[in-house]
Amino acid sequence: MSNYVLQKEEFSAFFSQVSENYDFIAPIKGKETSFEKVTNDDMLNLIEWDELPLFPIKHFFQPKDEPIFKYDKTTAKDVNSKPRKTVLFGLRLCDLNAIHHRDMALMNEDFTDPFYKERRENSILIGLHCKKGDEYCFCGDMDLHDFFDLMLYEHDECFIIETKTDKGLKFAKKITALDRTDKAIHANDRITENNTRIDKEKMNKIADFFTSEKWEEGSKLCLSCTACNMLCPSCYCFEFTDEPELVLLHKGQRMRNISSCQLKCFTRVAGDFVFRKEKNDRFKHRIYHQLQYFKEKHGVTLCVGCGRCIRGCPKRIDWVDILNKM
Amino acid sequence: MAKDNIYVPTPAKIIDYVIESGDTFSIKLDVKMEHDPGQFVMCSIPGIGESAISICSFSRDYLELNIREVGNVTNAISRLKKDDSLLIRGPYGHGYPMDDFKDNSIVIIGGGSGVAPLKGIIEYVDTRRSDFKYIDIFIGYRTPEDILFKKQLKSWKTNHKVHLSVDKNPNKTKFDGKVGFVTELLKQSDFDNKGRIAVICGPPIMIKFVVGILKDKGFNEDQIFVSAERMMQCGVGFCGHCMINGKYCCKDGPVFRYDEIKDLPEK
Ligand SMILES: Cc1cc2nc3c(=O)[nH]c(=O)nc-3n(C[C@H](O)[C@H](O)[C@H](O)COP(=O)(O)OP(=O)(O)OC[C@H]3O[C@@H](n4cnc5c(N)ncnc54)[C@H](O)[C@@H]3O)c2cc1C
Ligand code: SF4
Ligand code: SF4
Ligand code: FES
Repeated sequence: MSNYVLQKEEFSAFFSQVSENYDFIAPIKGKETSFEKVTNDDMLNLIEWDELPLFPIKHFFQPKDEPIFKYDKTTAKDVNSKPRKTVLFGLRLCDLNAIHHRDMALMNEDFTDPFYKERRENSILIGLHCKKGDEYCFCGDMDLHDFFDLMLYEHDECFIIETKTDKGLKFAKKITALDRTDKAIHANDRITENNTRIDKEKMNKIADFFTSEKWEEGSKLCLSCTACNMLCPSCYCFEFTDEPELVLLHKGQRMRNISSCQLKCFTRVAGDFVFRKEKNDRFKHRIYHQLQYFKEKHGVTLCVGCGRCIRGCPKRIDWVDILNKM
Repeated sequence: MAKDNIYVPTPAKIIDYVIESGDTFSIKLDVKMEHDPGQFVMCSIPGIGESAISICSFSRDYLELNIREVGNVTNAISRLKKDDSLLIRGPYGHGYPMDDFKDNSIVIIGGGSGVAPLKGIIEYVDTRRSDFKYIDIFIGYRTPEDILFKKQLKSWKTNHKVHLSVDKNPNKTKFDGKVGFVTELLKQSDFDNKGRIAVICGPPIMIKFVVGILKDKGFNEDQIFVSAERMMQCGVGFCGHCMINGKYCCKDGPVFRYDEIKDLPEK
């Protein structure tokens, strides 16, 4: 597909053209970097170009809490959702692949999550090539692939933009700040430094280590704080709760809330039986879902190697390091 | 935008309500739903929550559920009356592969609430009796007061071989069965694995013993079907709560061929 070029000095024009028809979401620096809606030119100065945002993009597709239907005594009615057309800008390959994995998880031949599907269909994924990982990343060890509508590769004065999908191409054609270019994306452009650290052989044999006591090195420090689940771009588990209206208790809405496998209540059934009662079992479950269980079903690990679950862990529990030592 | 919201349940009217025991009742719903024995529905009481309940009947005209009061949702359902409605969605999960059972004899082993989904198999078999050979039913309850489906038991006894036991009989109640564990009855009966399938539903500890006994009788692991139970929220393989290692109880199960899950550390 054709390549495009965006001059850096044209970025503000690019933004204003895009925001005529789309919400523009980008990684915005703050106390921690997170994906926010950009509403004005000044915010463009806050875009984080170099470092991986601590917070993932997943809340855009699957909010922390959202209504899934309204009820009234014994009737249930769909909520009217009108997802806005949205450009998600500045995604790294790890985050993009996490979206691909979420597609696999939540849209299949048997069932499709309706809210997720709507938001996916209304979004354009614009990547930003990541040049350098940090001490926690290991995306280079994972089988990531080119999953995006457009991808920006930074040059001195401009970005060269690779188009991958028809959706991306159509979008690029409409935005006049983007010009067609004959410039190719070179192997050099695609390099990401410092992004390997997991022992792949160990990772592929993780099933053999299920009973290893080494996991306790990590789990004994774990606070079950759930930060690892919340920061993970891939984790997608949820639960439902009913939220009655304050006055008319028979009316209300069923909410879908983000959920964490690190908590006992995640597997608690009536009679107070908890299937994963031990912290070590819960600690392992997350890692095994990421590296083994998802792969059994979908052929790829759920984990994309972004390292957020280690970077953001208050105890900095480095499960990759623990696995490497097995 | 119109979308297909799989989470929205639909109203189902209760057309019959039967108290089965101290904490268990059955409801018949005015719902026509194609399903396999062993599949389940998600039942909602708005404002309270949603629970997975096995379909315990096999009929084109209605749906029967057998429910034990153990918490918020199940208590709320128990307070409903005939002509009230609740909300359901489904059917979900993999039930018993009845087509594969064709031309076989079936040994049905159930304990307590676990008898409910097995009732669906019995009713399925009764609609096409000539497709199957012998049906042996082993059911165990804690006490005679806990015996479920007393109404149906008579016809089961007429058409099949029923072995019923209760763990104990503190009130010396008259009942048509033995005192002792159902596993004992199973041990004592003489049949082998030839042309036979065994299905088990009950507490995990019972499943474990029964599998052992069946193996002693020569059953292969792929002739044994077991049901699993886990915390469920979505019922469709998304929410993650029901995972048994990498298997989703709601979607890959709740019925598993034993060899499919026997090696799972969390089984
Ligand atoms: C496949 C399957 C089939 C089932 N079939 C039946 C049946 O035929 N009859 C019957 O009486 N019970 C059945 N159960 C168990 C039934 O789902 C629970 O007893 C019920 O959810 C308890 O809900 P509660 O609100 O009354 O209890 P609470 O303790 O208040 O539970 C709160 C919530 O946790 C979840 N939950 C709690 N326990 C369980 C559990 N054991 N399994 C799944 N989710 C749970 C539910 O979402 C429930 O609403 C089945 C469970 C599964 C997984
Ligand atoms: S972030 Fe760290 S401490 Fe918190 S639950 Fe995850 S592993 Fe445990
Ligand atoms: S498990 Fe950790 S490293 Fe893997 S995708 Fe999730 S946050 Fe990133
Ligand atoms: S109940 Fe949600 S994944 Fe099984």
